[in-house]
Amino acid sequence: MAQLTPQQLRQIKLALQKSAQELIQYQAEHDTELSDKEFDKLGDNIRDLTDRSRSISAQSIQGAADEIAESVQKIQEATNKVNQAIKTITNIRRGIRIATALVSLGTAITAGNPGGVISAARVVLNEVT
Amino acid sequence: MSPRANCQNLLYATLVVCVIFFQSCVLNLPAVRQYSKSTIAASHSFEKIANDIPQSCVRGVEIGSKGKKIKISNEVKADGKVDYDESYKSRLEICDDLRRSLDGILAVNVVLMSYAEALGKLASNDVITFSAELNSLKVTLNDVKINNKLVFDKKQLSAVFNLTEILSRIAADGYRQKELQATIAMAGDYIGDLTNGLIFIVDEYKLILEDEKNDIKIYQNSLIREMRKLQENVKSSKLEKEAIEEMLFDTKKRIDAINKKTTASDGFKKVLKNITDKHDLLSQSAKSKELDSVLLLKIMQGYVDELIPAINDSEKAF
Repeated sequence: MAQLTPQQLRQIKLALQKSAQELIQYQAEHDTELSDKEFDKLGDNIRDLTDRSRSISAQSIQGAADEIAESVQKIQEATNKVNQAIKTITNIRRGIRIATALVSLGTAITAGNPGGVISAARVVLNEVT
Repeated sequence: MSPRANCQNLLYATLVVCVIFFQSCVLNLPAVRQYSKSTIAASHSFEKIANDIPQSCVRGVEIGSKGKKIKISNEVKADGKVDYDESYKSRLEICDDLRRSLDGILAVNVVLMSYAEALGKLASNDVITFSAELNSLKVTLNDVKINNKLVFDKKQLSAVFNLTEILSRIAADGYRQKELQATIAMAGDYIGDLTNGLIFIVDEYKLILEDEKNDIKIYQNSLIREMRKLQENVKSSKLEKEAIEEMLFDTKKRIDAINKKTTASDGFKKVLKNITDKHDLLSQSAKSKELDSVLLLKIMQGYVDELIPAINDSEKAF
């Protein structure tokens, strides 16, 4: 048997809720005529309908997510594309920083500045790794 | 600078910008940023609604069980176990089922939020600005010396870097316009499904609040029955009746709170519909073969106005 769609499950839930509400009203209107046992039994029936109504919700919530899984995948792909574009532009920025670090290193080497060479080399390494 | 040279520079600048933007439709970037902001806020609100679904179930079970005076004490016994009524336990298990059922749709919400965040980031002006990095390179090059003599002329370096900064920003803008356009056009066919999925859950939430209301009404009926019996019994005390009245008042407050949540949910559905419509507009604009000429001219004019003085400075420096 084919699984029920979220929309079909909703119709069942609405029917269960309508029955529960009718029983609640009956219980209130016939309070004086009902024995304690009958009153409690009605209460149990209403709780039972409400529990079933909630179980239906659990199924339809699950179903709603399953129904759109393909579209969700497409949006995830779109997000990955945008993040890739951001990464490309970020890499340009990183490239400029690497160039700056290399120029500093070259300057320190030409000047024969050992301390400068070490700190500039560290900056280059940080940028490329 | 002669008028002829000025005209030439204006032509170069316009051609550069035209070439870079030629293949792009121009998206309304403030609209993209606004869509991003609205969607992120809506996603956070949706999370709160979804999290209230199992909580509504628990609230309903607890108060509905009071109607039968089911023992729901959590008194810990000597052996460390807690004594719960079986029917109460099985009702609570349904609330656990509801909690688990939300995993899928909460993941959908995260995907939607991530998409909006990514769009907002790419549409922001920070992402295409390289001034800090270029300034740093310029300052470093300024200090380069051979035989104690500066290698680069400060004025020439400044002119070149000014031009580089503008050109790199134009190029990055053209690139990101193209990427945003392609992505939004592609996503346009699917975003509606995601937001409709969230709207479905909001409607389900409203129905689950009705279940909670039904549980409250079971309890209300039992309180009204008890009150009737107290009123029929001449020996019953005023205190007992007042206690029942207070409990009845509490049930009315709970129902009011549920009604407010239901109204708020209807408002939230409109927000979700609105952001879907916003994305539809962006998507139509992205798919359109016609360039938004007014917007494009405005952007190009802005860049040309920046380029002319930079080109003039370059000419003077060299």
